[in-house]
Amino acid sequence: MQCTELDELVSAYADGQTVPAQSESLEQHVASCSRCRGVLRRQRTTRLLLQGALNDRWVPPDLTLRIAYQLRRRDERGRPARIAAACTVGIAALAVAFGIVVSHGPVQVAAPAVPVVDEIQAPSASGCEACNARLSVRYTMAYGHKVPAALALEVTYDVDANTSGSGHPGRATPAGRPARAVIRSGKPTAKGGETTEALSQRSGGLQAF
Amino acid sequence: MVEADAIAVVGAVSGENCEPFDAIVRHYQARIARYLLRLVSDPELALDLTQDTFVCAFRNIHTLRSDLALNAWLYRIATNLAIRARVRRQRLQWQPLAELEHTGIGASVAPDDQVIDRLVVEQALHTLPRDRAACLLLHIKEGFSYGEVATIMGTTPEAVRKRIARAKEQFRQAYDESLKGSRTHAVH
Repeated sequence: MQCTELDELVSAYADGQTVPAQSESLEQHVASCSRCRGVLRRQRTTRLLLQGALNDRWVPPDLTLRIAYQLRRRDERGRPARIAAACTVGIAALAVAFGIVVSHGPVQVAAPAVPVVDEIQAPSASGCEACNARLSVRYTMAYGHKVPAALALEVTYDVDANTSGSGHPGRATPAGRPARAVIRSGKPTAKGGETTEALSQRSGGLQAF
Repeated sequence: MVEADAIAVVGAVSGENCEPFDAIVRHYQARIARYLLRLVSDPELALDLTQDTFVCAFRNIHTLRSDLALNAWLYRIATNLAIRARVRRQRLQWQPLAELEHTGIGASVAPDDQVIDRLVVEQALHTLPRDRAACLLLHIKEGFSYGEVATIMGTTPEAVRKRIARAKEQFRQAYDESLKGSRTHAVH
């Protein structure tokens, strides 16, 4: 047998993964073969390099809450909806998906199919002047998570259709039937990359519940 | 967490009840995250993949075979996710050490030998095909035997022996070349 054919076995030997019979015959060969002794030395130093130099000190953040949150948050198909996926959706798409419903009094957002962790409320100035309705956009994002650029907007809206209930100057709709608000534009209030926690402290506009 | 405890916890996990699973997450998350970091060399991606690993594990825990240890199963999921993730992210990975000075990283402080060694090892490891790197890390850093690595990777111990031998050789060549280059750079 050629020495090169033993290289795999030498590697396994250096890793302590050979059976006793293999170890014994290999030791006998290595004792009389300088080439294979060199290969074995190299295997051992390679092993030491990998054992010693790779980062063992990195302490990842405690992911328990983040994972527990994901486990409890599923989309309608039963698949876990990742925060990252939610972040890629623009606020308009988000609003449509959640179905923003307008009624007299505070503007309500239809409860999403998933639990809501945080809530961003737009300033009351952006509410309906006629009825002081306020827009409340709920989105699912773990508290302390970075605000994605797509959500880093102050949301304003037009009531383009109807409102339910009485007293609102929109077109009448049957009571209890929601009308859809249109998300029109926004100006930045949160910076992309800012954490929801920081945004909350800065603006007081974020409420965890 | 000993395997008996893990089995008890697994038994307590049901489709609607995640709480027993939190104990598994707490116990394994740091190990899995560190393993994934070594494999993908990107902390954010490693954390995302760790999260995905446990979410996937929870959703499929009823498929856990009795002959497969929980930790081996978690590593299998993590490895599969990392191999797939790398295809998407490989263009965003390593920057050669030689280019660091152009970015200003490390320009003001000369890196010491230990830091250079770590970077060079990580960089050399990153040149390996992901399945080989996974075998190497599972054995050398995570302490699995060749047989256990074979179970995790869904292959035979002989195949693992080959992959690890080739991975070590390829790693060593890349390491020697990178080390030579980075030390030359550090001197100048």
